[in-house]
Amino acid sequence: MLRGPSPPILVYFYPRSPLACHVEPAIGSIVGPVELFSDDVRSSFVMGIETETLLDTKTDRSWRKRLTKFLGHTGLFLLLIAYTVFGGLVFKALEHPTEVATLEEHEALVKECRSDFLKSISKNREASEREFLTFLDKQLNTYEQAVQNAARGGLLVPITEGRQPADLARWNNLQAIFFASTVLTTIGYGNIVPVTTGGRTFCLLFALIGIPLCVSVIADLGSIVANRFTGLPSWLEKVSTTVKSLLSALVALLLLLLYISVGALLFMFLEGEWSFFESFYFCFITMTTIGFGDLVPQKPEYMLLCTVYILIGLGMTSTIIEIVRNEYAKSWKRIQALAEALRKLAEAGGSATEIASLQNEFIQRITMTDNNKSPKQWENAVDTIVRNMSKPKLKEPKIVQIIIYETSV
Amino acid sequence: MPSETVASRSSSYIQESPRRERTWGQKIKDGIRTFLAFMFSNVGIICLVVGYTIAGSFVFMTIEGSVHNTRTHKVAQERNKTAEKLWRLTCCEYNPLVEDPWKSSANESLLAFQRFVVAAVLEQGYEGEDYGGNRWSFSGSFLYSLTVITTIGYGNVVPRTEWGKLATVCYAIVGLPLFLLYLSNIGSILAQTCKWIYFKCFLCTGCKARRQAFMIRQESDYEMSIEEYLELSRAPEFKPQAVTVPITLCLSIIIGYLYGGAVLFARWERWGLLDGAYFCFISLSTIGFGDIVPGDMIKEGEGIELKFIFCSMYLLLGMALIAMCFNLMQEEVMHKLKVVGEGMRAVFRCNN
Repeated sequence: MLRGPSPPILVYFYPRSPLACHVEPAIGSIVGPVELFSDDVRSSFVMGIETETLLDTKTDRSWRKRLTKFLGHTGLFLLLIAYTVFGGLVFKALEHPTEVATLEEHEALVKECRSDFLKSISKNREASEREFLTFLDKQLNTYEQAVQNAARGGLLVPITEGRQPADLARWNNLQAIFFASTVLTTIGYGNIVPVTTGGRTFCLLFALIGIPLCVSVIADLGSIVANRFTGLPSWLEKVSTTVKSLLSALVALLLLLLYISVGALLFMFLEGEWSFFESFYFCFITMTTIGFGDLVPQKPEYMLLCTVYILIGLGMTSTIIEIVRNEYAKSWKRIQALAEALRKLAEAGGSATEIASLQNEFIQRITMTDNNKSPKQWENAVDTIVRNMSKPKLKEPKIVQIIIYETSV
Repeated sequence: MPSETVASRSSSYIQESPRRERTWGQKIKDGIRTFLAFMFSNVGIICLVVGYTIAGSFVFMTIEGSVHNTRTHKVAQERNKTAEKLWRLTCCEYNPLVEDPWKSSANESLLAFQRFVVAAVLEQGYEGEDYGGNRWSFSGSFLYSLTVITTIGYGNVVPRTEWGKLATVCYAIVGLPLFLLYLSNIGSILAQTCKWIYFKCFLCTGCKARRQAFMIRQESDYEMSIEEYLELSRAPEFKPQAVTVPITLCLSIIIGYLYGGAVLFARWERWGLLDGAYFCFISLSTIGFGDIVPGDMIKEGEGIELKFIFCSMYLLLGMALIAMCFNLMQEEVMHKLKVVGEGMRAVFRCNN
């Protein structure tokens, strides 16, 4: 087990760049992120800045290094923004005409339904009350259907208020850019969606290229966040690593809730009509990229602010969820090791000597954990158990495992 | 021969330890132990994810299911009210021979009704009465729970009550990392399997010929030297580190899976092929707009439950597959970059 100076919280950062990888540790041990290349090589890859940095003399190296690093961060970010704006404009060009056409169609339909309705009432005046009521009910039902379709299609205001369908269209420039950003972050509210074949095909291609780009930006931001996490106050040094990592996961979770609460206050203020709980719910659903789309910010003026909040938040959230996942994975491995012992017991069923020895071993382990020794001792015991159990696995070469999927959260 | 000695040793080992007759209690104990071990294996995590989803679907079913009926009831009430009002207007309040005042007041009440319907659709998710089924049936809630922890979030079904929203938040906090654990575990296992299969199918071209040569040598009485024996009998070793699967294969696996899903959904839901592919992609990339969702167009009683379950399985497997492909692709890219980097480093060292 690596101890001492190595950071207590372990964060996997894969997508930051394909060159930083994480070596899947042998069971029970903790290994920090392993970088295959020094920073300057990586940023030169990332930025496409040619290899000049490698040839630098030592004099102004640190300065240059910082600059390239900074350019690497911002360059990726700018690239993403440019890509998003480009995508949004293409979406608008593809979808806007169709949307206006459908809106006009809906409007005409609702108007027609209403006039039909009124006409048929005046025709049917002679009917008895019961007949008339059932007739009315039926007519109202069809009318309701038309209104419902129109509402879902985006025709929100009553038609008599006299606004043109073109003004009502949801695919304006800002909205389209916002839509593009929800695609790239895989939030996907679904309040506005492409309906034409061209729009859908473009959406596929746009997402296919853009999502990895966005993932790398988010991971980049996440690494900045996570770097802040690694330093722990000195009074915590004495606590055992298990408690420490649990504690840090808890702190991370609390920080996430705090960030969401701050966002919730912000949105409550900006949106005006949302309660605190509603905006908290909105921020949570957004930050986890679930994105139901039942609550969506309505005012286009601060869409950009919203997008930036989301991007930064995603970096944080993905890091924190990853930390918690890491905790899960560790305890999962412990449980698995115990289960392995159980299985051995079950398999050994017949031979008396073996079962006795295994049982002995097992009881020893259990009592170790039950005895309320100091946490350190307990941890050591678990460590040795785990190590013993994973001995055959240790012979295998370590598996370099990188999971880009983290940021799919 | 080494293999023979191993075999004889193991057989003698078995004979040395005669199997004790086990009582029923012991058998049950062993069974439970095996079961526990199984549960905590990698199959166990699949069970855990599915179990968590099922538990979630029961919770959401109880919280949200009751709201549905009152909503439908309210709209029906409003409709009746409007009809009655119109009747009163027509029969009693106005002179039927003068049209204008009647028309304006009828229009007004209709507009009020229209506003009510719009509000019901937008704020409470009213979907009309012809969608007879409750969205929060068991399978609907199951799909909902799954879309929460996978972060797909279609949004065609959303909690309307405060408690439902709160439950969703708590459910996601626990469920998201759990699902990620599932993805990384199953993804890496699938990646290993994929590598092994790839190794067996494409990289092991020399294996067969060598084995044949080995068999021929064995059958003839040709005396082999030890080196020769070792050389021939050893199968090329499978090293997970050394094998990298080409990116094109990964991409074709993803595209094949998408295409298969598209064809299936297109047939089941009567969508076009592009719509099916669009749905599969939007779901598996966890964007999840929710504009196209299985079971939307179907009335109840046409195997809708089965379709929800099938869709869930498709998503669970598909996301693990994509995680696997990302795993493999990253490894390949890293391998390539490592080679390039080492080459470059060597070049610059020479220059200096």
